[in-house]
Amino acid sequence: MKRTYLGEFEEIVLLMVAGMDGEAYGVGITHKLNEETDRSVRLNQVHAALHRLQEKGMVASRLGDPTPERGGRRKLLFTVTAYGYRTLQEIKAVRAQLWSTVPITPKLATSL
Amino acid sequence: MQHSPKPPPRLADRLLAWFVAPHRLETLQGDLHEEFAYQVERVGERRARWRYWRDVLGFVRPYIIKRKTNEYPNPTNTDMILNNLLIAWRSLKRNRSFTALNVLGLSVGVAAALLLFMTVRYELSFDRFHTEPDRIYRVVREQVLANGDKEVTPGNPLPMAAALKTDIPQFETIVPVFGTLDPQITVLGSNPNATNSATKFLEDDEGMIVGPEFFQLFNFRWLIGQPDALAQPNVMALSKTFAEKYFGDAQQAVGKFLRINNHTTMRVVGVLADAPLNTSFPMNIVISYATKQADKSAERFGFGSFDDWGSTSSNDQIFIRLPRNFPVSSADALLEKFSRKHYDGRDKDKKTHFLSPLADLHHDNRYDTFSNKVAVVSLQRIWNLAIVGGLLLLMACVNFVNIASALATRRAKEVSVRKVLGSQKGQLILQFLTETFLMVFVSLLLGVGLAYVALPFVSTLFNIPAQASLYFGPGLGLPLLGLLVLLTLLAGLYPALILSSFSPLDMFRKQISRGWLRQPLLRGISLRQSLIVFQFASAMVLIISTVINLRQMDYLSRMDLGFNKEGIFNFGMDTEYGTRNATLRNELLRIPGVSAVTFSSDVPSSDSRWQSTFAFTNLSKNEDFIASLKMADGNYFKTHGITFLAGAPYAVNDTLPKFVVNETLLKKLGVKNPASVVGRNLRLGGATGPIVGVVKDFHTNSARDGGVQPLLLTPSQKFYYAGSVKIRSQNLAQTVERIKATHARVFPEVAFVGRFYEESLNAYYKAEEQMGWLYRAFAGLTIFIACLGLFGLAAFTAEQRTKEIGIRKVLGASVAGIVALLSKDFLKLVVIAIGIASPIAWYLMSQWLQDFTYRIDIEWWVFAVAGLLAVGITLLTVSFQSIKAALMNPVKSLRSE
Repeated sequence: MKRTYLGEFEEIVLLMVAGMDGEAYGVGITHKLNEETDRSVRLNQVHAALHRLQEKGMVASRLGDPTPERGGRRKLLFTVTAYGYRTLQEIKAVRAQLWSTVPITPKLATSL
Repeated sequence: MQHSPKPPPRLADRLLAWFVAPHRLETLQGDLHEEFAYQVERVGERRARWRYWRDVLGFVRPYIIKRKTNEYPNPTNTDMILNNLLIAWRSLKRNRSFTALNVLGLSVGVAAALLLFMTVRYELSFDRFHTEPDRIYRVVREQVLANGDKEVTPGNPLPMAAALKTDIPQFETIVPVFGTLDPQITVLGSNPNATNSATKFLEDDEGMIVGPEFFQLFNFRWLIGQPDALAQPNVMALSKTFAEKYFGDAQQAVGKFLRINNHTTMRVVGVLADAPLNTSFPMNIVISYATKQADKSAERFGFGSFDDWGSTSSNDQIFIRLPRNFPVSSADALLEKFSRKHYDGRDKDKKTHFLSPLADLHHDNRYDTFSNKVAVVSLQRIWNLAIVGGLLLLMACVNFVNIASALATRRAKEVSVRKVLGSQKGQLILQFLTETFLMVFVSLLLGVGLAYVALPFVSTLFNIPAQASLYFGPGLGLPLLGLLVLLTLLAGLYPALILSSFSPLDMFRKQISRGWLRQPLLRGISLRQSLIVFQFASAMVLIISTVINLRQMDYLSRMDLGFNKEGIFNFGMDTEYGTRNATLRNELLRIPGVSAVTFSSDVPSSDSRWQSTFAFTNLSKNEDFIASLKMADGNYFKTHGITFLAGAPYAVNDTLPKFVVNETLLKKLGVKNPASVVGRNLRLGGATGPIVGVVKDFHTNSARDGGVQPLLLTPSQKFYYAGSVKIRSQNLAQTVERIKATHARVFPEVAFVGRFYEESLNAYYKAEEQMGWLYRAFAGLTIFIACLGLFGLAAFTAEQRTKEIGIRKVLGASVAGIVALLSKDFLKLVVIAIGIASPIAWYLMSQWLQDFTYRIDIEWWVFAVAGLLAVGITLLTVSFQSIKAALMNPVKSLRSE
């Protein structure tokens, strides 16, 4: 089976979409990412990631209701699709599987 | 939060709205604005604005810019047009031979019409390049003669320009002009006193005399110098070409000297740009008007003095500019008052000046022009050309209409299927128009190409300059586009309407024939027939006109002119050296083959017109008509073979006033017996002398100008501008060489220009001859186009009737019978066309012949011959198809699929 490749940033954005449960949109994701991961992410990066995810069929978008704070403009809201959700679970399973092989106290490299 | 949110940078927002795909804009802009508001709170407005810019630019990505494609695109107009083009192309290809016939006819028609329209445009462009040409007028004069005849002349008395300036201040600019001097030019170079220069030129139809104010009225550009330089006497300007001809280089010319007619030395003060071709002013040699005013002899730069109201020369003309919105009628009223004031005594109520528009210089042949090199082309003739051009196009369109409506039967099924599938009538019309459009487009391209290629060969035929750049400019684009639309509609609309109006119901009912055949198609047939009649009638009119034109020209060239033109060689003389005339005569007579020599003002039949009043019945009172004058020595009659009815010529070296008159003059005077006037006195101006002889009438002007005028001949050496030699020799060229050598020996100062009389006589009819060729060309073209159409139709009928012919043959019809059957229908139409064309042609040609004093009668056999010609051509065209059809094996044509 051909596995869909998911980049690290894409994976995080997909996780955020899943976590925000249907209320995810560009600015919201950006701010939350900045707060929780201590990264400095920019709006256009998030949008690009969302676009790629949608093309891969892992998120679906719909238009929200107009809100006054955006000058009456509607939000583009994203929801994770079943395929997206399964992909996330697979990634998590692979990681857990890999974690299980890691010793509790692994030998760490010492600097010279 | 109650405070109003700060707006993000406007320019960035606009940029965003421009590049973002419309379906993404709303949500994206919403995100950006929200982010901006958040950042204003967080880091302040200034930095937020910076960030906003950075974010917007960050979105310049292909996926943002790319517009959404519609999953179910609406068929657009271009799709339909493309489809129409495709169908049109296929159907044109299917009817290959008919398409070829149409395109051939149309492109030939377009090429010919284009050349005609170019000619029309060129002729109408004459002297339009001056500033506001519609305000420039020439002052002309009408004279009512005592016998009630009216005469017009462009000439004005010399004092008139000055008088106009004081009497009619309303005229803005008043410019006296003299043209042309036809001078002999001796190039002197830098030394004004040089005596022995060998560089001489005799300039024909050149030498305008104008003042600086001429250039306020007319836009002739100066390359070197200023018009003001022409204010002084004895200075002149040259065109670039002439400056180069005389001095090798335009820069070198200024300040150099020339001698005019061996009597006046002139300084060159300026160089003019070469005048455009479409002007009636020969602007190569421009002499200052002050030179003419300073000429005390009153005969070196035109005749007459500046205080004489009595005499006029058509060379002295006056141009004026009217103020804006000044009606010509009021100007004419002012001139009428002016005329009454200045023409006193006997002339009262007889001479009236009025204005003639600048355009008349090129279009009104009642008035003399400055140069015979530019023919006067009447508006009538220009419109005739335009009409012929339109006719050619129309005929080519007719072919298309005929063939397309004939082919309509073939396409009935296609139309019906389209209609059943939901085609609207409008769409069908559009589709058929596209077909026409495609063909017209190709024909236009071919036509333009053809005209371009043909231009150098036919420019003499049309009498237009051959430079393609004059006509094939970007200015041609719009008219061509117009022509494209016009031709498409003209040729395509009718067939399109016919085709699109077939009813599918009739088509699919079994009795195909009755229903729709009766309706539009029958109408089509009768229209087709009348169109063929129209085509052939047009062609017939042209054929008949051509035959009559040719016969008239032939008649003129064979006409007995009353003098003998054979072997006469004429050359120009310089009146300055008249004293040496006798020497020249004696020297010339010594050449073997020369049988007679004479000097005169002009040859028997010529374009120059010397005229004067004279007194005979009562020597103190002028007769009420004007006589033409020819000044000639006594050998004139012998040299030109003019016969005497009574009396005898005066002696060769007679200088006393003696007169020879012609029959017409006696007839006008009411004298019956020629012998009775011999010996009686006659007064011409101040000179009184006896009439010594009466000559038989001979042509005094070109035949078009009314042949024989009342004429007086008298010796007067001062006016001998022409020498004529009668040569009786087999070796003409050698004799001419000897005449030239003798002339050079006796008159080393004078350039020699000579020509055989027959050549110059033929040149009179140059315009008519050219017309004749034009007639022939267009008669040929129209008949060609008409035959193309006929050929196509014949092919079509033959094909339609293949089965019928097969059955007829099986039942025993002969080949001849079938050919006759197929030709009969077309022949009928051509006969009708002959019937229509004959009276029209008769009327047109009798109008044309009115212009000639000596003309042929239009005889019935001309029509018969033209008719037979048309019938013959028709039979030839049709029989090609009908014989082919008749010879076809009935087994083939009757075999079912």
